[in-house]
Amino acid sequence: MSLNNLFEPASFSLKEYLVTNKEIKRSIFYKNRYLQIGLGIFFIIFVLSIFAPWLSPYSYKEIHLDQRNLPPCKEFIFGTDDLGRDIFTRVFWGARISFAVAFLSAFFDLLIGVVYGSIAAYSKRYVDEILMRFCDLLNAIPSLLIVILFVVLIGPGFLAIVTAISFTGWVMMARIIRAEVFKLKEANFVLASKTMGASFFTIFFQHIIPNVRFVAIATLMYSIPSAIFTEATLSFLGLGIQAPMASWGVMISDSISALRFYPWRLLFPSVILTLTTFSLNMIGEGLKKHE
Amino acid sequence: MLSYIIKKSITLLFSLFFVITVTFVLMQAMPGDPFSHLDNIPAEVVQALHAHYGLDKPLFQQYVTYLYKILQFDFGFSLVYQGRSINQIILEGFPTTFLLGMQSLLLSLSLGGLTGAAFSLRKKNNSFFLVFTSLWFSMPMLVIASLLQYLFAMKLHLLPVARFDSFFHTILPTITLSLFPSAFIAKLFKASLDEVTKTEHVRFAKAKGLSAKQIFFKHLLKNACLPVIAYLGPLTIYLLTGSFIVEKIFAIPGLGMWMVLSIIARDYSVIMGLTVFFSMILLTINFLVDIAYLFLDPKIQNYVIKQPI
Amino acid sequence: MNDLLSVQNLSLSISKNGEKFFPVRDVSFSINPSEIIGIIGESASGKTLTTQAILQLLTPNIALESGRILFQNDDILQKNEKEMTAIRGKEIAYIPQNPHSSLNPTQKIGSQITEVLMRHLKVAKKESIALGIQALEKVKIPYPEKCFYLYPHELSGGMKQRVIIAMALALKPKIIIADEPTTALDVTLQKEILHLLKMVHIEHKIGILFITHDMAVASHLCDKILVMYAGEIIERGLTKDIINTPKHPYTKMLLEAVPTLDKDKYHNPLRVTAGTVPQLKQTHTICPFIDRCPKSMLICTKQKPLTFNQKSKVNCWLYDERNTTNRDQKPQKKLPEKEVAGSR
Repeated sequence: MSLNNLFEPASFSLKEYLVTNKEIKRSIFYKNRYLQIGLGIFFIIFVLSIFAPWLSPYSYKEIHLDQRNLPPCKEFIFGTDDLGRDIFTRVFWGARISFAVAFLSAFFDLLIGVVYGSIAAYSKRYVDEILMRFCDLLNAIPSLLIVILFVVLIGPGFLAIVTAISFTGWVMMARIIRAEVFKLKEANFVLASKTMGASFFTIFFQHIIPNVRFVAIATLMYSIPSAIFTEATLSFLGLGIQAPMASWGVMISDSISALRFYPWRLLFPSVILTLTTFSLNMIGEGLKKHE
Repeated sequence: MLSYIIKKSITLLFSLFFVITVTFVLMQAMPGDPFSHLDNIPAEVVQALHAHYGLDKPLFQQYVTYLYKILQFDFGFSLVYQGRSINQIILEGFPTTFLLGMQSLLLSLSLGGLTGAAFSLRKKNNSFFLVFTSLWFSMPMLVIASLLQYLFAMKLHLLPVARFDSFFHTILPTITLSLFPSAFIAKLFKASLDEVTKTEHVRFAKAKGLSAKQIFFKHLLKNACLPVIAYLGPLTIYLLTGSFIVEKIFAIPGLGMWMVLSIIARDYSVIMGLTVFFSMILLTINFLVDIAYLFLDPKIQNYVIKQPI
Repeated sequence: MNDLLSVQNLSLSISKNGEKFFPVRDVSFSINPSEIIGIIGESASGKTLTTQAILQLLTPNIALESGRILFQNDDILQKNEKEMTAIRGKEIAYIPQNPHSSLNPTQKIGSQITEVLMRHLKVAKKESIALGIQALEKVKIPYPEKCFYLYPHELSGGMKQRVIIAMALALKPKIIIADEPTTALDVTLQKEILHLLKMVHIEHKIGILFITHDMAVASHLCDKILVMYAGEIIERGLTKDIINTPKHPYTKMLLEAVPTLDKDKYHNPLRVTAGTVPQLKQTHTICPFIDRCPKSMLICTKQKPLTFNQKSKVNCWLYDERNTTNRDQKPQKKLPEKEVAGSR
């Protein structure tokens, strides 16, 4: 290349020298350890609970009076309880019940909370005040007490428990959703939509709801474990799911007095419960990180 | 500023009123007659009992009487344990529960605060912290209580098994009650500290050459502890309801145990009386938290302190 | 080396999506107490990062790739946090961009000043209050005793910035680094703040490193100017040389983009070359301005330009002796231009 050529005009594109915004896998699983672990563990337990009736040759209420309080062995993987029932089957039946209670309550929490919170966020100032005052009032009595009172009133049973838990659980969701909707209402992209003539419903369902998804699910990851614990506490107080149905709360309460002699009766339900709530927490963390 | 405090006080009173009303209504809704468990009693005695407890008067009058009594801190009588007034129960049980609650509060705040602060100041990745704290709040209190009791008291004989006679007796229950809140506060505090550290004025404080200690105490702490203080309300709820379980398992004669016994025995008036009492405590704590916020949160200060009153 | 502060071959890197890029590349300059140095550049040219690096105020995701910063012949990049806190504020002061968010909203002004004084000068509270009020007087704040006990939100933007400058001055540092101090303020306040800084420089013989994106401000205040683009210093020299006879095409572009009231020129549309400052991966192979340069040549794509001495020092192949083409010719190619409103 002669000297003259070097100084000739030339144009150039900097493309290969620029840092690119590589197309990272859009999947939320990518490198999100929390989500991976959380969903993994939860999925395993969930699947096992669905197949609970077929997991072992025994049913959850099958009594073997001659084989009471056996430690884990070949026939009974998790051992037996004081009526000779197979703990393994009961743990996963318990999972079904606890999941049913927790998910149903959480679902109602979500529904009521989102509706209530959105209405509050969109109403006039004084209406919002009144709505929030009502929430505060509901919070004045510890929720566990309300649940207890409810169940004492109506009598224990699946439906009563779900209703009772939903009755107090929606407040937290409503508060959080309201805060989120407040923020989003004023966001620039909502304003932009409005100026282009979008109707209220379009804005609400297309812009606001998708954006509260993350917060809502993260809060759910808190309400579901809370519901599971509440159910356990109710069982401890004798107000929970009634025998012979198995739920984790029932199994744990019954095994406490026998802890000294038959620790496996406490161990297995507790471990599975802890793993479940832990995995839900991990999912919540993972979602927060993704956000 | 005064108007803010007055407004909050009115809310407090109104909520109390609401709680008392609701409790009364619910109590009326309880199935069965309060004396139905006493069998083989002639009808006249039952009638006399009704008259004695004022249960034959019209509903509204009962309500007013109830309201009046509660405002005088007279919660009424137990239905199951004849002659035992709820006031007595409260006086006997509250100091114990209060002591346990205070200890747990202090432990949770200090453990949570220290852990959160320690992990916030580290530069390395904090995933271990998150996993560790999440683990602690995945365990139900029932399990923790039983395990601790089993391990430390029964197996290792290190600490007393039950009752509340000495300081050593309080150790296990306190730890049980504090595990969940400590983990929660640690996480909350750390997240809050991280957020405040990134704000402009903290970065400027660093640029001014202030020492890390100075920055921490003067700039970070005040702003970062706001969410923790807000959490004191839910924390109280947790300690109150947690005391049911802990006191039952460790046989501690406090309000929690009384509550559990009443629930099992369906002693409605005690259940209601204690509910009202617990709500009073809760509402008071919320009120105090709101006042504390007045002094600590700059946004509220800006809005409120500038008012004429 | 007798310079008070000497930045030598500073390079910083950030990892993004697994790729490293260099917001600051091989920057060298020095500051003395007798001069005010201005750094000019667009956003993302690396100006703020350079100054933050001096005081080790970088966020953890930014790594030091290479270089030294000698302050009084001591490499301050190697110092640990404790030693740095002794330097920050006392020897080298920093004035941040946004005064509104730099002051703690829950702390009174006076308290924020005295904490700095007590920390560095180790004086008692009473004395520090007196010194603080003195400092406020120096920056011409009216009623300094009253201001001492106010909260930041009760002051105007200009006053806040003055308070920050007062804090910077109170310790009598050797160098002040001012990061776009007037950008967040109204134009009317600009003049006062600039005047203040100039006075401070003359009276107390404090060297100032002034960062800005506004040519006008720089021409007013600074003795020497460094023009930065994509993390490199592409032209440096005395203010009058750069403003009157800019050599580098980028500098020329910056000057042309300044709106003017000059009767001849104001009917013409403002000419701005489209594009923004790139974030580049490699450090040493090509000239970073090449995609926006109207006079780019073949050699610009092969090698990074060396520094050539004209009246100012320019990093541009146009000024190579071997370049026989006329440097002041009209641009050879038509680059996409943006028409900015304000014409006709």
